[in-house]
Parts: sequence; structure tokens; C-alpha cells
Amino acid sequence: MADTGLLAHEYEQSAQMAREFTQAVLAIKKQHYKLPGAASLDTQEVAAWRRRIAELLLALRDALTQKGVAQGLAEKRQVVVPYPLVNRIERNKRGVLPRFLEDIERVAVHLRLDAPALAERDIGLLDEIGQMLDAETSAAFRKLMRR
Amino acid sequence: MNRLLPGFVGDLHKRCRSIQQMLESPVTYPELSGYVAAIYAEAERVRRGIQRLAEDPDLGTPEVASDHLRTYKQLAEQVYILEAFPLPAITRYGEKDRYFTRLVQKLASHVGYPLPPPIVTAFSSEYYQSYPAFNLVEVPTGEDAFLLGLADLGHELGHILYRT
Repeated sequence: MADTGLLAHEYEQSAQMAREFTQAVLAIKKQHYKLPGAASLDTQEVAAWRRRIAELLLALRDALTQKGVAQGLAEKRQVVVPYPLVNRIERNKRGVLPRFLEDIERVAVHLRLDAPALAERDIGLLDEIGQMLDAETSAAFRKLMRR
Repeated sequence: MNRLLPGFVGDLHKRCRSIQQMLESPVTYPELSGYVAAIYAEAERVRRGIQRLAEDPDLGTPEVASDHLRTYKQLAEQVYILEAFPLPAITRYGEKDRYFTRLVQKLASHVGYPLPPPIVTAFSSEYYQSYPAFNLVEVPTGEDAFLLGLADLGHELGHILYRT
């Protein structure tokens, strides 16, 4: 496969995670802020989104802490964490990575517990990860289209 | 941005519909009809996503503005990728593409290839390459006059099989 095929694969991997993450966080935030659109959300569906995001966060934590065995752990969680995303987070969080990992774990626990209200800083972390995922996907998209 | 986004979403919907309208033209080559239907279905999936975003009662709400913007970007990328890869392969499909597509179909049938054989376009600028997400293979334009590169067709089938 030539470079373009690989770029397409890299983009697709990142985009797939970004789409799922954005859709889930949007649903969670609608419920959190009690927005009009929350009325049409299925409670069980939102609960499923919360569990899925918790899985994504834990897969991300695994990828950031145990790079060598992360692939196996991610497969177990049925989550593919793109390596460019892991690298981006490592760059952005250099010096504060241990604290960031603790935050990830805390939010994953809150999401898994189905606690009715997430803290505002939990929402902030989801936004921050969404931004990094978006930046990584956009970078992969630009590389693909400039082929 | 909150005020601009509904306009962007409307424009993107038009762009996606325009792709679908191109795909609605009668298909000249029968081997292309299943592929066109699959790409149309993909465009329809994206169009529905755009419509859901346009109809979201919370569009323009500051608390979820960044999520809506990201959703818009993701949908726009999908539209541009449809335009950049499968659409030209369909709208510019000709005799050379047909030669390679039929060759791949024969090869796939001989080896018991378990997936629908890909469409092949003969306007690659990067030698042989494949796009598994769109079941598409690109080969160089003059490749039908040579034999030695044909083994790469099988190689590209392997990439699609591996990624699917």
C-alpha cells in the first residue's frame, strides 16, 4: 500500500474514535446541562454512552501508562487508541501527566457509577480530550487531502 | 460562530445532496452499479447525520457549541472524502478502469476472495494503492500495457482483506 492508503487508514482510525467520543460527550452534556434536546434522549442510551466513554478513557490511560502492552489491553476493551493521539497528549501534558491520568481515572469512575451529576471539572476534562482528539483527526485529514 | 454554524450546516447538506444527485445518474457499466449503490448509501448516512445536526434543538447553545462544531467538522470531512476518493472513481470510470475491475473480479473469483471485489481506477499518481474504507484500488494509467506490476493487484486485495 502506498502512503495515501496508510494516511487514509490513520485518518479513519482517529476519526472513528473522534466521532464516537463527540457523539457521546454531546449526549452526556445535554443531560448534564438539562438542555431542551435532552428530552429526546433515551436514558438507557445515555447510560450506554457513559459506559463507552469510561472504556475509552481507561483505554487511553492504559495507552499512556503501559505503551508496550497497551495494544493488548485496548483490544480487550475493544477500543483502538490511535498512537498519534497518545503522542499528542504526552507532548501537551509533559510535566503534568500523572495528574492528568488521575483525572482520567476519576472521570471514568464517575461515568461508570452512573452518578447523576458529573462535576464541572469532569466536563472540562472531556472537553479537553475532545479537543486533542479533534486536533489529531484534523491533522490526519489535512495530511490525507494534501497527498 | 454559534450564529454562523447553522448556515455552514445547511451548505454542507446541499453539498452532500449534490454528491447523491451525481450518483443518481444512470450507471453505464453494470459492474459499477453495486458500488454506486454502496457509496450512495454511505452519502445518505452522512446526509442524515447532517440533518440531525441541523435539527438539533440545542444548536447554538453555548454549553455544547464546541461539540456541535466538532460534529460539523467530522461530517464535513466525510463529505470531502467522498468527493475526493469514490466519487471521481465513479464519475470518471472508463474502459481502462473496466479492464482492471474485471481483471480483479476474475482474480478474486479464482482465489475465493471472500469480499465483494473492489472497483479499480486507472488514474493513480502513486503507483498501486488501495482505500479499504471505500473498497477502491488505484493503479497507474498505463499499467494495462504491462504484466509485471499486476501481482500488486493481488497485494492490494490483501490490504483490503486485512483492514475490513
